[in-house]
Amino acid sequence: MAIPLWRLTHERTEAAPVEAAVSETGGKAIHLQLSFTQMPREFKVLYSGKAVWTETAPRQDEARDLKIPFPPEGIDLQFEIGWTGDALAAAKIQVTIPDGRVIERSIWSKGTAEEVVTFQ
Amino acid sequence: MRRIALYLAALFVLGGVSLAGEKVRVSSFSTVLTEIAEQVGGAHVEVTGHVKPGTDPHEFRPTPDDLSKVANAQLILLSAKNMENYLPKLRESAGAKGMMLQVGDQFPSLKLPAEGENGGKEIEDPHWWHSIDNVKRATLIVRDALIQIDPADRKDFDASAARYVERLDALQKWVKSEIAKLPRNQRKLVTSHDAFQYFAHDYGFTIYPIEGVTAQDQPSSKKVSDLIHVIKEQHVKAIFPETMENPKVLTEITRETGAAVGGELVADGLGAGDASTYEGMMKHNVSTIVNALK
Repeated sequence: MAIPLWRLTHERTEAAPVEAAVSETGGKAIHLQLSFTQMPREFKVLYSGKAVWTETAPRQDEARDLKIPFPPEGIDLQFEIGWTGDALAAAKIQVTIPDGRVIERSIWSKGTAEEVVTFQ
Repeated sequence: MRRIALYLAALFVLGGVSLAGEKVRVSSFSTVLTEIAEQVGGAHVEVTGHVKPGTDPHEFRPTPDDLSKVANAQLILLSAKNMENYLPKLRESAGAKGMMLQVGDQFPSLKLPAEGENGGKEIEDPHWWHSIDNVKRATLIVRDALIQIDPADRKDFDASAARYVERLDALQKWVKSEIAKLPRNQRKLVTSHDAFQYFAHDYGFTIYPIEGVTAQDQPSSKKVSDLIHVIKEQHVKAIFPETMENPKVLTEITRETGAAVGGELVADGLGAGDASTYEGMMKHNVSTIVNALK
């Protein structure tokens, strides 16, 4: 009973592996956490034009460590989130950078969101 | 009754207000503003673009023919931020009765360290159109001026401006997504003249200009040697000449540093071919930068 019915009735795709091209941070990773007001069909996170995290039928809260370099200039992550229907939905995005600092941003959209978000 | 009608007619003519059915005569001294006036004004305007695409606006000087057109214009569009140093001559010689709109002066400026005879002082970067947000602001400023001159066609100006801003929004989304392909620590732009501060501000680039604000500001040998040091130290992959000047110094720098020539950027307004529209110019510059630096 602890497992929500939704999780049992939706197919879940395991996350795509982070591309080798972006794993040059000397072993350090950023921690990316996503929370949705409405469950999307799928989402994709891109760094430098490459997909670093893809989920189909994600949970309401998702988190993952990504080996992405975090220079003093910060990083841009591109989010593609496919929500069902036209109701206004939001995603809260938290990035924990290697020095422990947490940076929070949000995306609001009706339907599909495609947005570049800067963390610095 | 007849006296009132005469008074209103005189007010319309002297005040630059357009009579019904008559096209608003617009004189533009910026290729970007020419496009905005045409897009917003549509069939209700007759736009004369005095500065043609591919012309260096820093070097442009109005001809007697330009001055006679300005004298007859109801709206004169100027890039401003000290771009048109012939402005007093324009005012004096043309005896312009139309509304003179210094568009760039209506939004904030980014400052540049000046060189040459202005050395040590800061000057305004006049190349405001490299920020899409500024072009959106300019569109609304031009729309409001057209409405003031031709209030009868307000609805059309409102709708056309909204459509153009929508296209600019789509362009901005495309630009952000393309630039996101470049890690922020690789956003270092070595250009021939200092024209991309607004672009750099919006998209997180650092600019290392070889010359000053105009393409005619020649760099000192110390500046060139400092720049070579920076390019090596910062591992800058490519440097960018522009379409309007001699790339001789650039060639010397690429030879010394091993950086590639990243393609020509259109700096001083609209260019030729694909870059002859604002959208085309931005897409050309962004694609050139991203392809060379990624």
